[in-house]
This record gives sequence, C-alpha cells and structure tokens, in this order.
Amino acid sequence: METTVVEGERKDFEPVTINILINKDEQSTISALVFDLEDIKKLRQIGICGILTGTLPSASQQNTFLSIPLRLMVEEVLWLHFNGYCHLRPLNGPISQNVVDTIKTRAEDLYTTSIARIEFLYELQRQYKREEHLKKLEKLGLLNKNVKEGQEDNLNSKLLESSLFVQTSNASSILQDFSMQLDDKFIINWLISNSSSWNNYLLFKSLKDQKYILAPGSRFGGKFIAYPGDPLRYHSHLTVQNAIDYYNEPIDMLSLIRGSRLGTTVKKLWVVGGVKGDIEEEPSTEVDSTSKEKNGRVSFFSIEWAAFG
Amino acid sequence: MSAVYNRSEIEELVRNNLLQFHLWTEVTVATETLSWKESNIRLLTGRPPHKLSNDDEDVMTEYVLPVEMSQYKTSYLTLEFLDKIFDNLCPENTKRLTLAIINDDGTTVFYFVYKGIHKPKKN
Repeated sequence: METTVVEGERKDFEPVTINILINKDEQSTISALVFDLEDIKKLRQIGICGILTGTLPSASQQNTFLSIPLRLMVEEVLWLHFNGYCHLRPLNGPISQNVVDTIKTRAEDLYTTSIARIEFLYELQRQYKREEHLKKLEKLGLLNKNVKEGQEDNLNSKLLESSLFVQTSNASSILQDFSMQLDDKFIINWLISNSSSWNNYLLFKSLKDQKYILAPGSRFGGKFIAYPGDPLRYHSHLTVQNAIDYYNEPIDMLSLIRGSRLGTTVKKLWVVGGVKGDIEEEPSTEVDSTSKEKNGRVSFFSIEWAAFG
Repeated sequence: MSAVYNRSEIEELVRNNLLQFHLWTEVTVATETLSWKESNIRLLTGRPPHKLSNDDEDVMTEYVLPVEMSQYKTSYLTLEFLDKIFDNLCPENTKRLTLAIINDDGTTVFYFVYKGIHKPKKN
C-alpha cells in the first residue's frame, strides 16, 4: 500500500514495525505491539508514546517498571499508518496457544537453533576476552611464549568459561512464525471496526496536529488524556471524551458535571468533541487524512467548573 | 413531555441566583435570540464581584447560558447548539460562555465552556 508522508514531517523516517496481534476467534482482543527498542525511541520522538507492558514471568506482580513490548492505541497505529511511519505485521493469535503448539512440533529444531546461537555468542565472547587478556599481559610485560601460542592453563580457561554470559534478545525469534499475509487495508479496517470509530480517530488526529501527545484516558474518565509535550516533562491538560454526534447527540449534563468537577482537582479540562458532517466517514483506499478541510470539521469544547456555584 | 420550567422562568431563576446569591451586578437578559428546538434561547450578561479566573486581566462581562439539567428528557445541548450560541449570541472574540445548569431541586451550578481546545487555568 502506498504511504503518504505529511508535508513538513521528517521524510528520512525509517518506518517502524508494528505487530498486530489478531485473534480471529475472539475478535475483541487486539494488541498493537512494538518490540524493537530503537523503534520505540523513534516513535517517542514523533510524539507517539504508547504504554510499556512487558514484565518478567517471575515478577509479574510488579507493574511500575515495565519494559518492552510497547503497546499502542488503535488511533496511534492508524495515525502512524496514514503518515507512512510504520509497517504492519499481522500476527496470528492467540499467541500463547500458538507458542505451545510451535514448541511441541518444532522442539528439536528450536533446541538446536538456540544452542547454536548461544555457542556462537560464547565464541565471540571468548575471542574478545582472550584478546583483552593478551593485551593486558603485554602491557604488564608478562607475555611469555606459552601464552602467545595459546597454551593457556586449565585454570585460566575455566575462569574464562565461567565469565561468559547469555544474551537474551528483546523479541522472540519464533514471533516470525506467526506472521500472516494480510492486506494493510484489511488490517486497518479491522482495527477501526473492532476497537474504535473513525470519528475518534479524527479527534485524535486533530489534537495531534495541535501538537498534543495523547495517552489512554480511562484513569481520568475519558477516551484520551492529552499532554502539551512529552508525558515525562508535562502534566496532562485535557481529558478528551469519545466523539459524539455533532448534530443529534446531546451532551449529558451529569457526565459534564462529573468530568469537569474531577478535572478541577486534577487540573484538567473536560473536552468534548465531534465531527461535522452527515455520515461517519469510513476510510477509503485513498484516505487522505491529512487534508486541512477535514481538520476544520472537528469541533471541540473545553469545559471546566466555574469555581462558584 | 413538558419541561419543568419554561425559558423565561429559567432565565429569571439564574438571574436571581447570580444577583442575590453570587452578588453579580448588571445582570440582564440579552435581547438577541436564537431559535432552537421550539425554544427561543437568550443569554444573560452580567459582571461578577471579582474576576472569575486567575487568567483574566480584570472583571469582565460574562455571558451566561441557562440550561436545565434535563436528566430525564431529551436534551438539546448538542455541539451544533454550542457552536450556534458562540456564533450568533456572543460578540466576536468572546473568551468563554458560562453554562448555568439548573436542577429541579433548586440547585444551580456554573461551568465555563471554551470554544476549541483551552488550557487549564492557573491556580
């Protein structure tokens, strides 16, 4: 699929890979995951922060210092896709069952590959450490003939073996096994119809164009919360609600009061928005979500308690 | 379905509340009307006794839209309605609209509505 790069955005951006976990039987489960640390850094630079979700099986209770994979909101994936910042890689779910199956059927193969990989890494480390050791001896003037010819004593090589470490890679090497061939357009439509609405995406996009960084908003009772800059440097300013119908959906007074009152204590404005236009726009093949006209059609109102009454 | 109050009653209720309870001055019902869902909507204008937000330079004329909580009936407060209020009833460059929400238990609460995206006020 052709990708469009927004004018003024960085054109030298190497697209990141987003893994889309698709559970065909339980369609509600959607995960957009990024495993590559460099990709995560690049996303952050363009204001896509996601949520880190990775933890260790042995420490699954701790949830303050999470690691890769980074999980993205559907709206973030759509935005990245429409701006040409990402490749989508659909993965066939459910992953846990598939991993079990793969391990059962390919056990021997996986075993030999991983042994070979670890052996290879060990050998690299051995070489490096021997060279370092020789350099050190040379510097100290202790280099004798035996050492030069590589006739180390047993003790030295035992020490060397015990200092080797196993490197764990960030992304599973069998993840590749679950990738499917699916058209980008299909995945995008599937994401929108299963877990968001096109109007919510338009709200997201409009705020993104206004340089806000968005995060999931459930902890403050909204669809998104919006930060004026990097979330590590700023508090969020807005709690954005789900898009409502511009013409026919009244703003619920009790929600307005609840949301704005909560906003008073956490210094956030309660933001409600909708899209002008008779029918909800579905993305077509040539989605030109960058056109200025479409931005002008999003209407927001920011509401806060008046501090009296 | 009948409303608990009609428009002029709502306007009077909010006007009294602002004058007597919050000590506003110069509270008047504006003359411009907007026809909306079988009602004629009018704003109130008035001046609070002190500035309402730390972001304000000084006390300024506030534009108040009285609405019913209308918890149990179809509300007319849509986004289109708010846009129309800003476009037709407020002078250009109006900073904000104040929503006066009245309930049938005698409560009146006030909320600021800013058009577009706005920053939280400084404390």
